[in-house]
Amino acid sequence: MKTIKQVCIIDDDPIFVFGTKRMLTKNNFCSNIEVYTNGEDALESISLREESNFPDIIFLDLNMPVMDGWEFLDEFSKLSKKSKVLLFVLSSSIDSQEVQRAKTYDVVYDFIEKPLTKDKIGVLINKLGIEEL
Amino acid sequence: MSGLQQEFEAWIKNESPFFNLMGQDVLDGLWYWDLNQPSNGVLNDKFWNLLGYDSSSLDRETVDWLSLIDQQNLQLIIAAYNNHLTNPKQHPFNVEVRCRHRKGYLLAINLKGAISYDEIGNPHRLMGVAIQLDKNFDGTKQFPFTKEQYIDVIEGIKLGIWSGNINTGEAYCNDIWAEMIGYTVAELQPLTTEVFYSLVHPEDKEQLVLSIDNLIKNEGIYEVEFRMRHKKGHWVWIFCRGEITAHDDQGNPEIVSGMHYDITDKKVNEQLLLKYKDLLERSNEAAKIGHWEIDLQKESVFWSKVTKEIYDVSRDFIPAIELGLQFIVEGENRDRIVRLMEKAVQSPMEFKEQIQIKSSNGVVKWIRLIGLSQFRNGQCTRLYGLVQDVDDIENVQLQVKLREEEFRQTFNHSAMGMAFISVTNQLLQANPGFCKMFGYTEAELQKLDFLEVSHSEDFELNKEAINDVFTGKRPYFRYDYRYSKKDGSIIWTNSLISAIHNEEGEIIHFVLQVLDITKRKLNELSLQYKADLIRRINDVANIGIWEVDIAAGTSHWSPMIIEMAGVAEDYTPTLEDVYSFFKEGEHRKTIKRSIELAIAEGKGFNHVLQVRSTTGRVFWSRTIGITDFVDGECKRFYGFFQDIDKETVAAKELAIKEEELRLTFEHAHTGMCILDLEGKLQKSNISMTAILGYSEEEMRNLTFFDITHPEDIEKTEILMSELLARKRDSYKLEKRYIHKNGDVIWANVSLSAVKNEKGEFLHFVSQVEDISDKKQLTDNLTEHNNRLVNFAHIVSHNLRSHTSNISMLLDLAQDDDSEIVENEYFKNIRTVSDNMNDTICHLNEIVEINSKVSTTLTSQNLLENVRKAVKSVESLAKQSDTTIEININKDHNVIAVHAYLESILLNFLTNAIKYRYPGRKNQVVFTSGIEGNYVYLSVKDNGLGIDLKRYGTKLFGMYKTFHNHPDARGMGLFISKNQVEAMGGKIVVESEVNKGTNFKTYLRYENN
Repeated sequence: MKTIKQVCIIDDDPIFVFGTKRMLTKNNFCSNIEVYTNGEDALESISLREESNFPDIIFLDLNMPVMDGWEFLDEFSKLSKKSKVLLFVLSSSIDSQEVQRAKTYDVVYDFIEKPLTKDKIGVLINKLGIEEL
Repeated sequence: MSGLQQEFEAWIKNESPFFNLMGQDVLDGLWYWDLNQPSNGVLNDKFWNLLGYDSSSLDRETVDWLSLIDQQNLQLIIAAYNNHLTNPKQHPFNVEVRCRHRKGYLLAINLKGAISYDEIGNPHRLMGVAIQLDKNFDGTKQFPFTKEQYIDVIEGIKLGIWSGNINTGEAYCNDIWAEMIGYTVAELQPLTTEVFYSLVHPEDKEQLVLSIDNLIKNEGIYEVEFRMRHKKGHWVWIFCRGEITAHDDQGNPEIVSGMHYDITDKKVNEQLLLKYKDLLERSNEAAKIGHWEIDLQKESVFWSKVTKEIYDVSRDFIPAIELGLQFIVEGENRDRIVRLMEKAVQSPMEFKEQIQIKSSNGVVKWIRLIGLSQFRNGQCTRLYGLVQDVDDIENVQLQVKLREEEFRQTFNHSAMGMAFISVTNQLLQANPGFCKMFGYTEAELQKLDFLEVSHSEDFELNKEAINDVFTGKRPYFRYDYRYSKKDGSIIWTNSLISAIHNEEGEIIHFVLQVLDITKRKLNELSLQYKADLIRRINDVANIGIWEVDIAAGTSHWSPMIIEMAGVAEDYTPTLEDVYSFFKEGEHRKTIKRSIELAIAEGKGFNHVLQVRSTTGRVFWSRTIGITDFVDGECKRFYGFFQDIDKETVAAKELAIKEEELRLTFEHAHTGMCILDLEGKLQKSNISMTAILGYSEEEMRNLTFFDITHPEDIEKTEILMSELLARKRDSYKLEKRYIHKNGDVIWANVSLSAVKNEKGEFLHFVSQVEDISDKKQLTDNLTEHNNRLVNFAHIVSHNLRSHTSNISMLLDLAQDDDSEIVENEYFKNIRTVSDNMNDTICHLNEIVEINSKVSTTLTSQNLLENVRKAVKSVESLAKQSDTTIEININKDHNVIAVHAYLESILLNFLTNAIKYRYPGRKNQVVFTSGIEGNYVYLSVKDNGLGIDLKRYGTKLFGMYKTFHNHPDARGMGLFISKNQVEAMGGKIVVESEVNKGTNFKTYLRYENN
């Protein structure tokens, strides 16, 4: 079992961020959650860090201002220290073409349809073998 | 005389019959020994002479003859004697010894003898004969010469002496040897074998080397003839004889010695002889004449090469008299020759006979045998002569005889007419074929004067040549000739008259061979006729020729016309027939009048008229008539006929088209204008002026570019330049014009270049269709459509983020405060949220259908898919007591998206089960079929049915339900329809309330 220390949410929708944060803490998913409202801010912050300080999990939205999810994926793929990070694309889009596209990125662990629910978190915990806090 | 001497003489006397028989000539001596006193021996005179002692002299008394024997060889004698003594019969006394001649040299002598015994049986005497071996060695009796004498002899007969060392190559020669080739001994020094070989003729060298090699291997004597180069340059023929004369320590040959003898004179004669012989042979060979000779004294037979060839025997065949006769065919042939030869031996004579021989290969052939006998002193010594193969000649003569017989047979039975004509031009004999051909009997023919039945023209033409045959100037003559038959009709013949000669070369009679070629001739004639006509015109391609036979009133047509008219090859129409080909009415009248005028007055004509072929084809033709009118009479009337349908029709059509075009141009609803190459509007029609608001006159002052919307000028220019660069002939374009009042006019323009026959540009024709209304509509539609798509996208994506947030917040709220669930507002919000999520899901599905299709269309087997769908609703069907029947052709494959097909099938199936008629056994039937490019699938049930009058238009709408069924959501048919249409198909429904529904789905057939 591994423990999730740091979760990073990249989303410009405050309601979603609020809900997700609540959902994660309530379900003992992790202790620390950092939030960026666009890809650029997130990339700037993450790329400067030591590898040990990388988030364990990234929840990435696709439709965002400044740098959207696709651009973030392109840039993030270029970072050498990405392998340990579990990146989930979280989107309200249920367009199958977008789902397919997201899965073509090696760094993308999975595609999750919004909203993030209690059940979905449960599945995630089981799947990743995450130790609940 | 000693006692032994007496005894010896007594022995000779006793044995005289033996010795006489032997002949003293053969024996070189007799000897007689006293064994008790071996030195006491007696030799006869001949033996003494051999050893160089005078028989009469006394000195022999004093000579111990044993001392004359090589002392080493004495041991041989003793050994031979002892050996002989042990078993006289098995080991005769026979020994070779060397005896010393009085003059000092050694002679090789063979002694053969026997022991005689005394009264008490003891060996008493040894006696025997002596034979000089050296004599047999070279076949000539060697005379005992002194060294000097020997040299004299050598010099006297000019013998060259030489010797050479095999190992060192050193050589020695005497003066004579050197002189023979024009040198002195000194000049040749140092003489080596190499020097010697350098003087040998290159052609002879090999043979010489071979003989010496052979000598070294086998010893003995070698003899060889070869040429050496004389100092003066000519060649000298040398006869050389040599042998090994000394051996080295190992016993290998070391020294070769021998002599040279100049044989040039002899050799030259020999060569000349050979040359002449060869020449004779060659000339005989050319004439295939062989030479033979019987030497009666030597009883030998000689056959030359050609003779042997004639008899088919090998080159090395040795003939004999009897053998030669055996080749001659038995019976008359052989007997005759035997008789002749016997006669020839009796008295000198010559004979020349043609006989048949059977060669060694079994071939029987004719030969000519010439023989002569040669006499000497009244004795026949030699028969000789020539032999020649005359088979070919003879066969020809024989065949002539056979031919005569064949000819006789042929004469009687040949279908060809044959007759013998006398030198006085009377028919002697005619065969049945001949009689039949002329229609006369043989007897009638014999009385007939052939001039009477001959066609006068042909007679004049051929009489000279025929006369030549009669006078013997030519052996035969072949000619085409017409005769009149007994019934008066004309017969065309190919005749061959040839003279028959007797052996003296005089003409005895003539043979006339006649072949009936009437039919062929008639064909030939018509060909000639046509060829003649064709020659009169100068190669006019694709034009038929006709000529009217004025007397017969018929017309001859060339193959071209025959083909055009569609009649048989031998069709010869009358003039009436000809007229009938022309179109009734004016056309026919014209041609008839023209032809009549041409014949009557010699007027030519040239008409373009319509004709109809027998195949029913009606076409325009040009008929030209030409007459040769001489002295008021039409001698010849001919002309041409040409199919000009294409040109005429085209010309006529053009005239019509031009008129049509003018009318079209003026009144077309489409705007039309003609532009010059600069784009100036030269002419505009009414519609064009209406579209642009300018008058015709105003238009003429404008260019194409003045009226074009500024944004479209560039693309119009590009297209026009392409047109002028001949990259395209025309173009079509949607572009904008500016109306006189400034409005934008959307138009479909097609512009094409008009070229003259040479391909030069004349002007452009532009057709302009005002599509401003249509364009507006399309634009609106497209925009509308885009808006819809965007809307769908907004709904499915953007709206969804909000609904998902709502449902998330609801979840969280519920988590925080579980009692809130009981709140009515909360409950309702939750329901609204869920419904909204569903709706968005459905919307998304619809949006996706169209985008998905094109990439995932595959061939799907209908039956397989139906079976799968039926299987998945098995339990449902069971529960509802539904029977499902499948009648689908297993070969029906459709082009579909697999997931869609699956969902469509499932949708129809569940509908059929869902909306069954209560209390009635539910039945669903699947059938398939082909209609045009589609495979249709019909799903027919006997359920509730749908009131199509009421719901028809709404049937496939979203959220439309027509029954109060708890599961009815109004999505199924909507999605199915969308899916089917996205795959290029359609759905048709037939239904009757309370009876059942039939959904027919049309999908694209794989084979199309």
